[in-house]
Amino acid sequence: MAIMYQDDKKIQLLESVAHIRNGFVFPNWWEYLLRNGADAFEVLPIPNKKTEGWRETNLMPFFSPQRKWTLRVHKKVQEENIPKNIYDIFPPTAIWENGAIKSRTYNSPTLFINSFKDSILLGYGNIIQQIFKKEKDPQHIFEALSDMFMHNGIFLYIPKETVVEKPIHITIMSRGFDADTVDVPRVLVYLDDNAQATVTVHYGADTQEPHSVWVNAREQIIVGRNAHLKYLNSIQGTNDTLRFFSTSVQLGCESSFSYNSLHLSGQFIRSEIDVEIEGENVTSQINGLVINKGRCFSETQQLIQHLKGYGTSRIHWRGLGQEQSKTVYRGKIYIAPDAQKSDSIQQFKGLSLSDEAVINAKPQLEIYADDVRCTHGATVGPPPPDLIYYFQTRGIKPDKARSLLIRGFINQILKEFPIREVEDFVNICISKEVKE
Amino acid sequence: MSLLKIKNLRALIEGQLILQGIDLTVNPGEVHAIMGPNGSGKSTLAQILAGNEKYEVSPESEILLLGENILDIPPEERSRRGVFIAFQYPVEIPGLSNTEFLHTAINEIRKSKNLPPVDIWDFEKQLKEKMKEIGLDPSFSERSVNEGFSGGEKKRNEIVQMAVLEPVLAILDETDSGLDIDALKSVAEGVNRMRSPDRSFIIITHYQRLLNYIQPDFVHVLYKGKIVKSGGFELALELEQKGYDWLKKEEEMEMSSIGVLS
Repeated sequence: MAIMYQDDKKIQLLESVAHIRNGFVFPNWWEYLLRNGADAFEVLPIPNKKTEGWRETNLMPFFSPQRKWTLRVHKKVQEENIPKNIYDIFPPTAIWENGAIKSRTYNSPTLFINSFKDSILLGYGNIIQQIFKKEKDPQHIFEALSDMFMHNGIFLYIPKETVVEKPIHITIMSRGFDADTVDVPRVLVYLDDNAQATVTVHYGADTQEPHSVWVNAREQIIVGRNAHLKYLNSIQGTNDTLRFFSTSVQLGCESSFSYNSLHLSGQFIRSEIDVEIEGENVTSQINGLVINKGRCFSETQQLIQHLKGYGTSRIHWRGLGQEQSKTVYRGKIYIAPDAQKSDSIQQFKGLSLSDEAVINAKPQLEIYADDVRCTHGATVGPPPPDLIYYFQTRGIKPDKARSLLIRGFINQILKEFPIREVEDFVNICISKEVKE
Repeated sequence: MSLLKIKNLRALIEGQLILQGIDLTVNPGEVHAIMGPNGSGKSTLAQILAGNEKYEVSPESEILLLGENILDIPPEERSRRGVFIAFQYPVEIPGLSNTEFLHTAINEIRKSKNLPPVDIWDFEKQLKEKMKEIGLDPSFSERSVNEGFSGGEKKRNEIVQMAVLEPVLAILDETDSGLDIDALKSVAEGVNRMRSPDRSFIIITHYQRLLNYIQPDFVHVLYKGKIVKSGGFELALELEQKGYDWLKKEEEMEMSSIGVLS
């Protein structure tokens, strides 16, 4: 019966595809993507616990009988809806609010940022089309959903040989109304050859009880030859936010890429990142911090593919589990036969602050080259009693010791983040997110 | 009044009796060295004095600090009353700088005495001074507590902490182990600088070499959980020459004669 009901849901979502056109005539390649997404959505099954990579994911919040999802597309951005902590620390260059897009610096010699629709009108359609051509077919219904509802997106382009000194901040707001609302934000970042930039993308949400917001986001990042990108993805939500994130990254030779992720609260977060190292001598660094609480679920899936040799990849990921939350980390490093001399380290650390909090980690290696250096590891546990005792012998009570240890756990990963403002941002959020 | 009085200290861990009745009096300003072979209970004694709760202490035992039994008092409260332990194996605290850690510690101690907190900038300046005195690079104040430190640096950092917290009773648990001669001298100088008529030290060590630099007032030998011999610095010299075997034999003979008599 449950499956039948879920199938009904899929049909209901398909019916709302008509809403997204809103008078705009999509070019053929875009139409193709929408159709391809819709076809995939129809064909692909809803993942269940027997599906590889979905064993620990409880999709019931998406498909519970109480939910009736509606896609809402706004016409105008209301900046006052952006949370103050995001707005002050990361003043946005571009804003998405349920499909409405506002861009401040839309076209300068050093960067171009605009909506997909306006980008096409301004002559960037070819570049966007080329990027989408390389995109793989949707792997599951959530990716298919992103494609079939891709009514717009934010496109950021840094031209060849350009160094953008100031960070570019993008804010994505998903607002709920008097219904369960679906939002499908899309971000496309392209650093052309020898370009350099820092980009931050912040996902905020607000909901109206008893309704939820389902944010089904997709990010595509292309870093050209000898280009250098520092990227931050920060997710901050309410207890009624369900989020699905899919990020795909392609790295050209001699490029460097630093992906930094901050997941704070939200009823459900599943974040997938797929990095393809397509050229030689690439450096890829992935840092992440998940702070989980209540009965929230947060899952991270990572795939780092070394397709060419002499590449270096580092993953430092941390999860803080509180109350009855569940945090899952699954990361895989894949080394292709041609990727000789690859050097990869993958490390997950979980700190469990409650007996009921669950933290599961599965780091994996799949190596087909014979001259590589790869290590991986995971540790999960509560604050160690011998450390608490050490604090006590210095006059510090166990409660205070625990809170300093939590702070230390967070600080350690934040030091890896190459974006200075993140620390200020976390310091503001921490009192709300961490029950010390 | 004596600073510390240990009466009939008996302690177990996982059902095994480690300390079998220790009596020891430490007066203000005195330095006591506790020596003994591996497994004699030296570190257990240090941990029990600091308040480690994993040991079970017999109800008839007493540890009096300035006349008050502290056995039921948690470690943080003992620290606030002036008990300090320099650990044999100091732990690493990732992500928390030495400054932040010690600034919190000193302010927690001050708060318990109704004293105003110390400003972090003034404190950091003082901390760097203390580090310099003990031969630790002042930049270590910004590094996470003991993280990535060498064995010698960790031990020096313990002495820095002692210098900052200014205890009335400092217990040094094998602080000399793993130290090269230069580090040993710096540690000893740090301790000697802190010697004063109202501060006492219990120095736990295997070897006499640390005691060449920190002259103890008393030397005690711990064997099988009991103090089997006490004396002055000359006892340490004797132990260095003869090792512990003669004491073990003496003690075993005494035990067997007790057996015969009984």
